[in-house]
Amino acid sequence: MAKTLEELEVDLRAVTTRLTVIDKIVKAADLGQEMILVFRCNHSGLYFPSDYIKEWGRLYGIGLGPDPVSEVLDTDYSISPPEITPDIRTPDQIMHPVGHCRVQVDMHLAPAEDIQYAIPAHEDPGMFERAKVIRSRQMVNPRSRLPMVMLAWDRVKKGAF
Amino acid sequence: MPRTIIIEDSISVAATSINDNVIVSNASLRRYLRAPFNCRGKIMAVISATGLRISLDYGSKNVVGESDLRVGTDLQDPLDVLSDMWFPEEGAQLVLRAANTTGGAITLRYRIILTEWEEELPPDCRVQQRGPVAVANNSLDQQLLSGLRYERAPVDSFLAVFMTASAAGLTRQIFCDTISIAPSSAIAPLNRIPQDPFDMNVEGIEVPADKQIELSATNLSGGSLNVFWKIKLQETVRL
Repeated sequence: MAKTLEELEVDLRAVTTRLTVIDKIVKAADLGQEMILVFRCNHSGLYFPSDYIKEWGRLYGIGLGPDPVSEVLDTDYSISPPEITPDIRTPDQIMHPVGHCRVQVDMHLAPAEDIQYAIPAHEDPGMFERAKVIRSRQMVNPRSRLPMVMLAWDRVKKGAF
Repeated sequence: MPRTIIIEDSISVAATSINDNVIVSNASLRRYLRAPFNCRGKIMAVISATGLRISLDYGSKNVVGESDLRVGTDLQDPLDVLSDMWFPEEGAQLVLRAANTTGGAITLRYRIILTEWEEELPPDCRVQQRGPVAVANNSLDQQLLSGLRYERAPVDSFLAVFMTASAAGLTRQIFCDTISIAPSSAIAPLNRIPQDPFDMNVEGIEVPADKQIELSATNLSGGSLNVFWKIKLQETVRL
């Protein structure tokens, strides 16, 4: 995701008038280290690209209000997974509900090798990819009731009820 | 003193599934499935992530067409109210249908308030809201109601329109049966479902029965944008 300095400046001007961050990037590059301007989700620790604020409402955060927040999905363990009905055809449909965490995002300068980007919503319409990742985490989270519901699913499949 | 019933729940709707009546998904709410008396209804709802649509019927009458909701964690009255002017008769069955087209389970938080109505039941107000609806760059007059339930008024009604956009650059026009109601004008870039009354564009527009409502959006901003809209049709006669 290499950007030119001009593109970085445009992204930065959406957030601040102080452009000293670009000087830091150039200095680090002179020392052989690639530093990337990103926005960090304070809840998940995942990152968004440098144009996150500039493209808010266009590429990112559609429907989440006028102020940029994190669009990373989070699980609501206080609400049980949906009950098993004939409408449920695969076990992947059953999971704790998810929602956008909507926490503050902060501008951050990080080494390229340390950056783990969040899957932006516009690259995963319908959240099929993100749901897979979150569901796998729900299966091992101690707060989750999903493993028990999966036991019930197995019994339904075997005709135990 | 009129009696009041409040039906409230937070329910998970499974991925790629339809819940034909979320009220019965909670066993303790089954007793409220039918209106206990002639009443005035109010419904408000939010969802945890985009992709879940609801509709509300009482008896055989639809009062909230397939509608998207605000993404949020708490219900705000009156900002999240979809409709507060529908009047079910005693015994009318409430059907709140939720359809989730995404790959993840989504929370639906809703509250239905039924307040006893002792006089003759007035006409209902029918509502539909949608968003985000993508409007591609260089789209001219994209018809937002085309093919939808309330593209034409079922009876003589008064129309109110609410609109917002995900970012600056969208304009909208409103026609009723080819008569211009509102000329081309910018849409507020608030990036959320419109709220009543803050995001009102026009109100009090007479729409005769079966006449077409044209709500169109134009995007010449240079990039794709999204629009959010809500229409309210206050019927003048009760069917």
